Amino acid sequence: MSSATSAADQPQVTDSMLISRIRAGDEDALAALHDRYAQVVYSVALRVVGETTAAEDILQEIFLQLWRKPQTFDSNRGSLAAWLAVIARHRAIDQLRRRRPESDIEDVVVSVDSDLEQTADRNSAIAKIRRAVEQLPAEQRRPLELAFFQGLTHSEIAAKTGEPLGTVKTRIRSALMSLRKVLAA
Amino acid sequence: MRDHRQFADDLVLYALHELPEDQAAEFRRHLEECPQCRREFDEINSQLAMLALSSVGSAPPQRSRERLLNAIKAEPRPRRSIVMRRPWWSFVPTFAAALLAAFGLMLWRENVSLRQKLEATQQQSEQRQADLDRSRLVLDALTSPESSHFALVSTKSLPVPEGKASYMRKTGTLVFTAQHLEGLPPEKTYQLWLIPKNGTKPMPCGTFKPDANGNAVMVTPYAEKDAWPKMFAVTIEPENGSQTPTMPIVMAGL
Repeated sequence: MSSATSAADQPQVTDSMLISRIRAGDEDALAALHDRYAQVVYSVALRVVGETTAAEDILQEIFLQLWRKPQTFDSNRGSLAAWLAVIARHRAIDQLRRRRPESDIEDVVVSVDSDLEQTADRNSAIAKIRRAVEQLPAEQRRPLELAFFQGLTHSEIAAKTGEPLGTVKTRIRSALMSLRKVLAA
Repeated sequence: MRDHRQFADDLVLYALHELPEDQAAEFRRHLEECPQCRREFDEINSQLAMLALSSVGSAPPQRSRERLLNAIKAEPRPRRSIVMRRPWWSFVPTFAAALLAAFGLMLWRENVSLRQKLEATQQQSEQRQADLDRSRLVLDALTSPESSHFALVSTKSLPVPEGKASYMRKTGTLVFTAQHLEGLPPEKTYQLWLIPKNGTKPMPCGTFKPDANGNAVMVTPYAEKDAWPKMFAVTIEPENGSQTPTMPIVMAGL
């Protein structure tokens, strides 16, 4: 096992440290981040595109972008794991819609209450999040997942579910609020 | 132009990348200016991140790691710069050293310039001293009582009074030498005149008396400057000299 692999699970090696090392051109640091978060990026991308090769390409592309422009992620502004998850979803949706990415690496701030840097903590947090999503009322959860994982527009969801457009909009917003409340509880 | 409320209503659509590019660009500009929408947008992204993380489960193939590392080895190595935030005072020695170096350079250049000027002044001074020494020698030879003056003329002719005037317009210096002059009674003197080219009246240039051998030397360091002489002439005048020449002219020379 390489030293980089070890670094992925060393409690004292934070994401912020690894990003700093990537900025200095440390390939082992990128490998450590890959070990830490490849599963997050890959599984989100796979959920959206539904095809392993495409998901693997998205995984590769996102980590390459992180290598080329590590300065675009500011660890003071959020969680790297959550940020990667959102970026993976957006890239996958772009691929699904066959359009160019809207930007190289997006300036989004994603903060979560959970510690996602260590494998055990991350797995525990993900399990909690999954339960929270499952607890959402079906009429909220379905339009939210259609919008988020399948990239359907609100109009397309309205057409698919037979709900009015305004209702779809409200339910998606409510689903996000409920998710926050369940996790905060 | 959309107002804040319209932007706020569509924040979820923007976060989900559902807006067409022109509207998304408008949204980005609004987020830069509206902290309230920016906070709400960050909040929505965090909620979407939760949803994304809920799907985590499948691990990527083992080859993905190797593929990534091979890809970054093939990348042109970006120029990495590590920006170290240094406290402001850590730049003081550097700044002081730079200031000292600049000051030293300025002093060195000033020194070189002054040295060049001094050398030029010394050269001028030495040249002037040499000119002065030579002038003194010439003047001494002409004016010293110890000098012997000889006039050489044709052996077939009798010696006649003759003189030579040297005039420097720039400084007004006039040197006159004469020989074979006849002696004069005590109440009379010879007087030298400068006759200007422009026809104005003659200028008196000093009086002189010959020695026992009929020789005379007169040096007038500060005669009239910038005159254009047509000729010089010598007349016999009363002992204190005159303002206008008294005829006849004893000697004249162009």
